[in-house]
Amino acid sequence: MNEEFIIKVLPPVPPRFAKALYDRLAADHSRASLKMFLRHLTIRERWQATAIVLTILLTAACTQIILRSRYVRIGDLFLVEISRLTELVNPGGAAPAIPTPGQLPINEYGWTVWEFSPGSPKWIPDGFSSIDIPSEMTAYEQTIGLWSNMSNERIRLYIVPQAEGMHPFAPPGEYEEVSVSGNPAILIHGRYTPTSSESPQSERPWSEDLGFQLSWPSHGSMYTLETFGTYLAQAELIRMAESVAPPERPFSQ
Amino acid sequence: MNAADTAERARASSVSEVDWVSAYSELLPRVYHYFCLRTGDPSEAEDLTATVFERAWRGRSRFRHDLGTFSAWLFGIARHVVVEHYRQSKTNTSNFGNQDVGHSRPTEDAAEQREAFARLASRLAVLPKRQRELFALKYGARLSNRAIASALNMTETNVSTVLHRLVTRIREEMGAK
Repeated sequence: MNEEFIIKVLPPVPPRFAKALYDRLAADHSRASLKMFLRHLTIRERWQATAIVLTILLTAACTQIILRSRYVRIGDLFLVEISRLTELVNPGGAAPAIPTPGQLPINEYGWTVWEFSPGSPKWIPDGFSSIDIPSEMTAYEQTIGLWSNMSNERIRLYIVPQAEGMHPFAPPGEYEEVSVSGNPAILIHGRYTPTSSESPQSERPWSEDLGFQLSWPSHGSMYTLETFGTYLAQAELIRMAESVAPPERPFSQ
Repeated sequence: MNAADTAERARASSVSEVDWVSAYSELLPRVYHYFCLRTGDPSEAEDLTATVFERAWRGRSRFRHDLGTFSAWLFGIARHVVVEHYRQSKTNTSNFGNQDVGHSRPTEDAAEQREAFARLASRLAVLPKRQRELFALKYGARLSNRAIASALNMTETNVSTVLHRLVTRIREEMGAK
């Protein structure tokens, strides 16, 4: 079958058209998108790429969670939940308002003026007795009582103005809500290890063996009972807290 | 690497296995001529050819070697494009054979060639759509009888027979040797 006559009459491809189209396709190629890139990957490679991206995002999110402190409300108190990686307490934003009977007055040095005599605990664990309070003074806390045993293990009770932002702090999992006389209280297990005199710049890990800190609100103040080792049981500390007598002249507005 | 991975790798690498420069050089005239014979209008053929290559380029990752050759895949796109074209324009034959041809060769030969193509196009214009498609796939796209049979759901013998009759008739009508 002679088909030559058909081929002969077919118009040639216009060179300007061929070049223009080629240039257009080449330009499109240079704009290859991420979608096109992903299309060229195998299913496994797509999963791997997705896993890498998710890992990066998760790591970033976890880093934020780990490094960021936050306020946790427990009853009428706030606890600053801090990072395990750093002891710097820097929760974002101002502390939430705490409902209190009112602000405690301060003197010309900015120290709190306690216009009442905080009560002392009526029950003391066996072997402990009251000792003299060292002559220490801070702007925010007032030591009410100090008890010690024969092994020189100590229990301390202090108060701070509830509304002045000195919140207890602990890493996640190292605190719990307990009840003192039927009201919510914060029990912290342990504390940061003391700064080493040999290497003061070294990291200070959290240790659960360094006692309890039990905090509860009362009359515009936050009471805290603390121990410094494993010599006292949690139940004993709560019993001691519940035996604290009400202030003789409660502060009021 | 398991079988699924291998298959996926093959699918993904099929894009890079196609030599686009060579494919473009070889297939551009064939696609263009297919549309020339299909529409009878070289200008329209340019637009449709461009559409085919642009679609093929954008969808190159979908080309699968295991399903056939690249040219078959490309002409599959071309056939879709021409169907869409006629569906949109609803002018199957209105422009057939009335267009300027070979405007890149402004010579006496070119004028003769344009006239000859116009005569061919006018013959094709009166053919049933299916026969015109058959003719365009054979002499424009230059597909094998087997590929045409597969594309049009015919037997190879049937393709051969119909083509023989068509060419004989057109040759007689055009007075060609």
